[in-house]
Amino acid sequence: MTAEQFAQLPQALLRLQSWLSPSFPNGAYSYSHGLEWAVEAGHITSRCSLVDWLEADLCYGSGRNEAIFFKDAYRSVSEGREAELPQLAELAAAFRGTSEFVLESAQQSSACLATLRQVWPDRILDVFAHMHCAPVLAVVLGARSARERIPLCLALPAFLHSYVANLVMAGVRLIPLGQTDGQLAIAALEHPILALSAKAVSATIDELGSAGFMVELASIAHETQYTRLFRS
Amino acid sequence: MPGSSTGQASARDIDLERAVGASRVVFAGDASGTRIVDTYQKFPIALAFPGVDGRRSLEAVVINCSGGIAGGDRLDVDVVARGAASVAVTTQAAEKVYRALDRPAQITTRLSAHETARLAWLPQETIIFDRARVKRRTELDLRSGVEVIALEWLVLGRIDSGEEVRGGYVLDSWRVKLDGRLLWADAFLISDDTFAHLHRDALLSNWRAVGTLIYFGPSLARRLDVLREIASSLGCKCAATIVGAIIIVRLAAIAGADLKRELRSLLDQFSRELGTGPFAVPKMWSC
Repeated sequence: MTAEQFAQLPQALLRLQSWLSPSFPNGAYSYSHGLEWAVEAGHITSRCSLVDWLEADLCYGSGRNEAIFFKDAYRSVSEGREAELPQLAELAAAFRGTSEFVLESAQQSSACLATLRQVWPDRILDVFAHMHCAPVLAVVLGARSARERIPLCLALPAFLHSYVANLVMAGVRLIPLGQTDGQLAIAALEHPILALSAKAVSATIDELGSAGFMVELASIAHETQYTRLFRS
Repeated sequence: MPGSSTGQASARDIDLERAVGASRVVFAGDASGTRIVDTYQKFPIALAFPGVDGRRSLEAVVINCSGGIAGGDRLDVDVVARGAASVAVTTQAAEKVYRALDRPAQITTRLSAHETARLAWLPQETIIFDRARVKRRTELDLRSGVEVIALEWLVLGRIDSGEEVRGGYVLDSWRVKLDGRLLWADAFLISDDTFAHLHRDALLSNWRAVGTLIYFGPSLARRLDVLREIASSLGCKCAATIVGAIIIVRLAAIAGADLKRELRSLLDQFSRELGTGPFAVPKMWSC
C-alpha cells in the first residue's frame, strides 16, 4: 500500500461501514435465507443450533460461494480485468438454488446498486447497468470495494460478517433470543468468517459449490410456509 | 495427500492407464417418428438402442464398459435432440466411482434440445466410494419450445455394505442455458474437509442419497403445483421450486434404494401429468 492509499484508508473504511450497515437501505432485514422455516421446523431452537446452522452454511454452503464471488469481483477490478465482471455477475446471479434466493439476492442488490449510484457513484457501477439480470450483492460490493482500494483481507470478512449478522438478527427475532445471545452468536462466528475468508482468496470459480442441501430445502419449504415474517 | 497413507505413496493416477471415453448421439424427429442421425462412440463408452428407429419415442442407453470410474478418467456424453425428436436416455447400470489416488475423474454430460424436441436424461444412480474423487458437469442447452427432464443422483457409499465415505471429493455441477443465456448454475460440493461436517443439520444430516431433477417445458406454474403435490406424497425429502424458467426438484433419502423407489414414484406420477412421451421411468431401471 502506498502512502497515499494509506492516507485514504480511513475514509474508505467509513464507506465500507456504511454499505454493510443494517441501516443501509437494501432491505436485508426482510430476508431470512430459509431460517424462518428452519426455526418453525425445529431445526433451530437455541443460540447453539443457530450458530451451528449458520456456521455450516457459511463454511460449506452458500456463504462460501458468496465469498468466492466477492473475491473474484474484487480481483477483477484490482487487477485490471474489469471486462470479466459482467460474466462473473451473470454466473453469480444464476447461482441461486431457489426462487426465494433469487428474490432476496435480486432485491437487495438492486437497492444497493441504486443507493451506491446516488451517494457513492463510480464508473464500475455502470458495468451492471446493462445486464439482463440483477447482479448479486457480493459482486457489486466486491467490485465497489476494490475501487475504494480497501484491502481484500478487510473487505471480504467485513462483507461476510454483515451477511451472517443479518441472519443472526433474523434468528433473534424468530427463535426468539435475547440481544446478548444475538451478540454471542455473532462473536462465535468471527473465527469461521476469518477462516473462510482466508480459504476463499485462493478458491476459484471452478470450485464453487455447496453441501448446504438442507438450507436449500428450507428455503423451498419457506415458499409455502403458512405464517411468514420474512420474504425468504 | 489423499490415498498417500496406504503404502502407495509414489502411485498417482497419472501413472496408471486411465479411461478416456466419449459418446455422441444426435436424434431428429418429425410426425412420423424419431430417428438416430449420428452416433459416435469411443471406448469405454458405448451406446445401445433397445427400441427400433421410427418409433414415436426412442430409448437410448449409455454403457460404461469399464465397469466403473477411477481417478483421472475422462468421460464425455453428448446428446442432441432436434426437430420433434422424442427420446429418453439412461445408463445401463449404477455408475461406481472408485477410490482415487490423487486426481479426480471428469465426467461431462452435454444435453442439447432444439425446436420442439422432448428429451429425458434419466441415468441410474452414481455411487461414490470412500475417497473417490470426481468432477461431474451436466450442461443443458435448451431452446424455447422444447420439453426436457434431466436428473442426476448420488449415493455416498454403499449403505447396504456398511461402507462409510470419510473422504474424497465430489463436485457435481449444473449449467443450464436457455436460448444461449445462462439461466441456472449449481454445484453440490463435498471435499475432504467437508465430510466430517456432513451430518450437520444445515448440510446432509443423515441423508446419504441426494438427487436433483430439472424440468423445462410448458405450464410451469401448474406443474410446480403438481410436483409439490407429488413431493408431499413421497417417502423421502423432496421439494420443488422455480428458478428463472425452470423447475428444480431436490430429493434426499437415507439410502440409495429409498431414493430409487421414491424417484420411480415421482416419475410415474409426473409423466402421467406430462402425457405420452419420453418421461416415464426408463425400462433399464428395472433390469
